[in-house]
Amino acid sequence: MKRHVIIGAGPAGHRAALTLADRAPDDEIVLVGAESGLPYDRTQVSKDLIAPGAADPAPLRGASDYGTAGIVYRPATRAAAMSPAERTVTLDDGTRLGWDRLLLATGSRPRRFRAEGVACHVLRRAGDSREFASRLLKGAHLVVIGGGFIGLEAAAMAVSAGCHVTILEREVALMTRVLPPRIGEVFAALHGAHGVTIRCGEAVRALQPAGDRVRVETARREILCDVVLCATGIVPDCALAQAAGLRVDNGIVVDRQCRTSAEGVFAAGEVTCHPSGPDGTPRRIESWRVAGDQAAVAAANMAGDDESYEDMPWMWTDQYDANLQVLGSFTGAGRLLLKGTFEDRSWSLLETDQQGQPVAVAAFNAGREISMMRRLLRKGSGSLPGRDDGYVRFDGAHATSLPR
Amino acid sequence: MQDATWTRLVPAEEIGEGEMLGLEVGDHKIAVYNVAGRYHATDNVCTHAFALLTDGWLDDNVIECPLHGGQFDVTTGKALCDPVECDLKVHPLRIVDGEVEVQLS
Repeated sequence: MKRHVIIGAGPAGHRAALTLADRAPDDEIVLVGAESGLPYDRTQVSKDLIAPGAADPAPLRGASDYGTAGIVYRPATRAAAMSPAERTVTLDDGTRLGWDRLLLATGSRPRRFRAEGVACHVLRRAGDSREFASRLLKGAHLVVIGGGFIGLEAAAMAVSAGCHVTILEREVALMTRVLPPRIGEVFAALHGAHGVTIRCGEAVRALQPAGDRVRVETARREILCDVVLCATGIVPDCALAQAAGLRVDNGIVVDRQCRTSAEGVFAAGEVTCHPSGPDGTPRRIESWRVAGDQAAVAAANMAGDDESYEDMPWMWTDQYDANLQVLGSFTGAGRLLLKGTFEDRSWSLLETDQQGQPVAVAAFNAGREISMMRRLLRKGSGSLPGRDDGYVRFDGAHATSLPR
Repeated sequence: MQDATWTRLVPAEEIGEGEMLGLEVGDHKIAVYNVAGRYHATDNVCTHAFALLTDGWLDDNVIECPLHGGQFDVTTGKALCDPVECDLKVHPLRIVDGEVEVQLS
């Protein structure tokens, strides 16, 4: 009998535990999670969990049955140290566990804006959601630092709860880390129509306490507000791997089989930098879907199989009643094709490389396009979307009229 | 004679092989699928978040939700992958005189 130890009980750790229970039913499986409850749907931390009167999150499917699946779950526990040479991991309660296979699924930590005397919220865990939601009183003014997916989702929820919302984004458009600026402009218009104030090209310089309120300073203005949310991204939680001498470079470096540089040690999810997409460019992907699917591959290999994680990254965001899905990774270097117009209720924007192969597609209220493209790319089919499918050359997506 | 518990929906020939159709019967949103010549009916709203499955992608007997990629087997209603946790309701279906009929409950 082998023992598998999984560090981290987010979507990756949970999926790996279930996969191992299925693939290696006679082995011992230990799942170590930093939070106190059972694993839950983290995608709701910036969505339903911050709605007024939101209930606590439900456990992920299968989490309530860990015991019957033979999974030993250790909540509210962190790994303090690991030794690949001795094949041990030491937990913060002093327990030392030996392992045959170890999975690092430690995820990420939110970046924080340090400011003396100011409570600056983040959204990463259910507890963060509870604290933040309790401050979203009707009429309160919320400043969101960072116009990425998390900040925009939170802004949409807050304005729907009756708050005044200002988003401060230091880049020239919203969501530029993963999307062409023209798409950020579509979302700026969407949020503007719901009454959110968007300030792009404005970095926050300082946060000062001002009585019960907070003074937010940018180069252009001062804003007095009641609540501040820092949504400026995440950093991968690599400390354990780093201290143990594993290769770390923008995340724990793994191959397509999810193997780290240390024998017997695997890693999966948001913490990994892994060969991504058909060209195998090393990327660290922040996606719920990738976290789970990559972890399933890691677990299969821990159980002795030889599987590869080959999928294109795929992610979504829900804001108001709009759904945006992104498949692949926009590079900004390829050719862009647009189906529909950005003023439509739904559209899709495709980037192809020099050979005309799709590298990324963003679909706005057009999930079917993503389903179709995933299958197309998996098959490596030669019949690529073009004019017949409604796609026409688009040259404006990398341009932006911002800042304003 | 039409049994009172069966609701006539649409001529079967209007849904070709590999195609699907979303319909409303009172408050019920129903999806009818033609999988390799056999017809199946399910609820048309995903069990995970509000989306019409007929806006998604049908691949043989698997429907993929357009919002978050959840999948169901349309012949059994079984939820096949995350993020869907609950199975989809399947409605009894028959073809009478070339018309699709479903039994709603």
